[in-house]
Amino acid sequence: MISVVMDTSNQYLSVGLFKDGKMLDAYQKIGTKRQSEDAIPVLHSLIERHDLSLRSVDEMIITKGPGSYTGVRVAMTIAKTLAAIAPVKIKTVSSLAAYAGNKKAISIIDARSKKVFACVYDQGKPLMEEMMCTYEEALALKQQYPDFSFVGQTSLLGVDPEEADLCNNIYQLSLNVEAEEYVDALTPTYIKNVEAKKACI
Amino acid sequence: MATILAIESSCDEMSVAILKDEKELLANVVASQIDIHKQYGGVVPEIASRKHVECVSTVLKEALRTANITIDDVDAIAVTKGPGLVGSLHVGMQEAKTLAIATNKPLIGVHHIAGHIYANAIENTIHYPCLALVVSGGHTELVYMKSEFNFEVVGTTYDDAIGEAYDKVGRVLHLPYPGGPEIDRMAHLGEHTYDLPVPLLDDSYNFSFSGLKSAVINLNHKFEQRGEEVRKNDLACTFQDVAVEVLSTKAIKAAVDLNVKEIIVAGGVSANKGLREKMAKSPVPVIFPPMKYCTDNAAMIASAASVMYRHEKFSELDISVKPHYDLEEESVG
Ligand SMILES: [Zn+2]
Repeated sequence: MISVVMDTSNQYLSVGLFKDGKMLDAYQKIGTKRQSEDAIPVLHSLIERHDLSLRSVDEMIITKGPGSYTGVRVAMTIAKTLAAIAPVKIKTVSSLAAYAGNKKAISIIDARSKKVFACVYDQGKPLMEEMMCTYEEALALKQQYPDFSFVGQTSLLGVDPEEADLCNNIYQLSLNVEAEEYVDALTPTYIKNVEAKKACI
Repeated sequence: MATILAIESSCDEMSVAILKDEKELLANVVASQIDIHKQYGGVVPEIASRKHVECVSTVLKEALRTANITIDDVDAIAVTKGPGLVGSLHVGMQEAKTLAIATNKPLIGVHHIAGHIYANAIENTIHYPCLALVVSGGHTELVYMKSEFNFEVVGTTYDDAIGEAYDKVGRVLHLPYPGGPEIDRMAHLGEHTYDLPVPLLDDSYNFSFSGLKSAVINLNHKFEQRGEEVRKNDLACTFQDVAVEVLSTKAIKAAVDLNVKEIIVAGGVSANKGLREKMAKSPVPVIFPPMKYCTDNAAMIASAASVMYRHEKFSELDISVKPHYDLEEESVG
């Protein structure tokens, strides 16, 4: 069974290839802001390097947000398009959970405007609802969960960031996730609502 | 000869079309969001992007089903690369790239305005050299085409695009969004009774509509201050008359000066009846796209891409979407 893992939702472009639970290959790059341009070329070269074809992939595991607006739509659009023309199963994992993996962790993603998306995880299970909050509110979670470490875009909170092994984390988390039943109806998790005053006139 | 699958998602419409051998349109599915954006009086970019990703796979499947083909029958994947709203463009672009690598077929990034121009080639044959009058919410241009897919912009607007001026006037008169079709309708019920300045009717091929737009706003304001109601149909008629007069006069002058075989009209405002009536008086033959291809749709992108396919104008897989692309740089030959 061939699985493709993809995260484009915030600061990384991560693409991984797994065969029967073992990682064949992975690509992970931080901070280029070129997920939109590079996602497909990276996926293409990974698939080609292993003499596979995209349409013979058995499952595609993507992060669904929260994250950057454009970013969360990249992997999801690729997955939905592929599922329209190939018998691929789609699984989705929270972008916040992806940083935590199976660790005890307080996961942080930049939500812009001095806010972060945050959630607390233990063994891949969320201990609260994903939320958007201020830096101070996110830092305060540490008092509630003292033996949990910050993961993700922690430098926003003044905590030194650690390199995340996103492909592995996402793959491991997906083992406890059912494939999506209605792929056509899939939408990213945004958390933030659109401010309607931003109409382009 | 080729079958092209094209995607257009540059603004608030998500569309997939399948065009065989340049003329045989097998499918043209358009998912419009106009009812959503109407509530805001204009397109909200982030809402447009969200809606696009929501319907991306259903529109694709519907197009393949309508055309009664499989993705393997397609020879190339085309997509609008810009100009347009970046977030909206991204969705179509990821979709196109995915299809291209899944099928190992070439990717063709199409300039949105080239698409509008080649909407004229779906049911007609364009004779070169020709002059394209491009009129939409973002563009007012005269484009000289000495040969197929060769673009030279000979005139443009100094300020507002014609569609922008229509929308602004629509808002001032409290008309539902989009204002253009409504003004066109009202203009045909009213008379040219107000006095509005004719904008930039000089020897150049350039346009300016901000003065005309401001004159309408000021006139309406004067009436409001006096507690009177402006005769909206008459104001719509006067505004439209002046606007289409300058468009047609300049297009015809350029067409005669440049000795073209025909004028082709392109863009959303090509649906305007007032403009169609005025252009009918042109001594140079004029073609308009069929009404169904005037607003954004993927059939026009497929039409432009069919020409690009013959010229092997393919795109790399790392192609970007951009809010602006230079039309002249798209030229072949
Ligand atoms: Zn358009």
